[in-house]
Amino acid sequence: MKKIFGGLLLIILITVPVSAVNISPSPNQSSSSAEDKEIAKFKDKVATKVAELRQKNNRAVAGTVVSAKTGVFKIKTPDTSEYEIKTDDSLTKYFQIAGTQKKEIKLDEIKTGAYIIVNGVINDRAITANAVFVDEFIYVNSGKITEVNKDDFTVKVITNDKDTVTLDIESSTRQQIINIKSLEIERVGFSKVKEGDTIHFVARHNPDQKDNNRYTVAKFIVIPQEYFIK
Amino acid sequence: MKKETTVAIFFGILLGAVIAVSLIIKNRQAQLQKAKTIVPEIKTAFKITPNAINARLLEIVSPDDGMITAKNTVTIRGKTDPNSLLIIQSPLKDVVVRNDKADFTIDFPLALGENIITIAVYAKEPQLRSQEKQLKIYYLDEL
Repeated sequence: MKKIFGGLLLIILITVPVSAVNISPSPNQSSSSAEDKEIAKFKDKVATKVAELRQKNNRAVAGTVVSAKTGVFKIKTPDTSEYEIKTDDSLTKYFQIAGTQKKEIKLDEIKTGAYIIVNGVINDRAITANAVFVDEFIYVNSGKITEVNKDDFTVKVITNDKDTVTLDIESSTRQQIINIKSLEIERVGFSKVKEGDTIHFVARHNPDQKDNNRYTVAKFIVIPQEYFIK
Repeated sequence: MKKETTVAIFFGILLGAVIAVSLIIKNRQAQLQKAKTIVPEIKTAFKITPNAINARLLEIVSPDDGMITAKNTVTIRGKTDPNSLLIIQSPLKDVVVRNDKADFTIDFPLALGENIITIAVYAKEPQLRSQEKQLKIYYLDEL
C-alpha cells in the first residue's frame, strides 16, 4: 500500500512541473499577434478595474490637525470625529489652496491647527493619503436669531443642531433679506435684523477669537419671521 | 394524630395555597397595568407627525455627500414639496426660489477645495417645520 502511495506521489511530483513547463511558452516559440492583443486587452481590463476600485475607495475627509508627527497626522472633523492620516514620502503630495489656485508645499509646512482636506483610501478611522490640501474652514449654516446686539454688531443664533453661535457682522459682510412678497433677495441694513428671524450665513472662524463658537460673517440671508406668520 | 386534626391541616394548607395563588395573579395584573402606562408614551412618540412629514419634504437625488470631483461645477438634483421655499447657499452662490414643481435641478459653482452647501426647504404650510441638508463636495483637481 505504502509503495502504491509513494509511486503515485512520485508520479504527481514529476508530472506537475512538466505540465507547468509545457503551459509556459517556450522562448523559441514566436508569440502570435492575436495572443499579444489578448494580453494587452487583459492588461487594460485589469488596469481599468484597479482604477475603478481606487476611485471607489477614494474618499476625502476634512478636519483640523490636532497632532502632527513625522508622516502621521491626527485630524478632528467639524463633527468631532477623529482620523489618523498616514502619509507616504514617495506617494503623498501636499498643496496649499489659495483662492482658485493651489501650490505644492512640503510636509513640514503643515502645522497643528491647520484645516486640511485629505484625499485617500479610508479604512475605518485611518486614511492613507494620496494628497493633502491645506484649506480654510468655511462655516455654512442656518438658525434662528435669539439676540441682536446693535452696539457691537453681533447676533446670537441657535442653529438647527441646537448649537449657539455668535456672529460678528462686519462692514464687509454682504447683508441680505428675502422680500416675503416677491421672494427676491434684497440688500438690508443691520438695523432691520431682529430676534426671531431665520438666518442663513457663510462665516469664517476668527483665529484671534478664543471663543470657538464665534464667527465672522462673510454673507447672510435673513428670512423675516413675518414670512412664517402669514 | 386525630382524623379531624389532619383534615384541618389539609384545609389550612389548601386555603393558604388559594390565597397565595390569588395574590400572585393580582400582583401580575398590577404589573401588567403598570406596563400599560408605557403605551401612552409610545403614542406621544407617534404624535410627532411633523417630523414624519418633514422626512418627505426634502430629498437630495444627487450628488452624494462627500463627492470628489475634478470639475468646478456640480448639478444639484432633488425633490421637495411643490410650492415650498427652497434656499441653497454656498460660499460662492445663493439661490432662493419658490419651487413650483416637486423636482429641482440647479447648477452650482465650486471653489477649489471643500465646498459646504446647505439646502433648506420651508414648506408652504407654516405648521410644518423646515428641513435642511448639508452637502460636502470636494473639488480637487489632483485625483
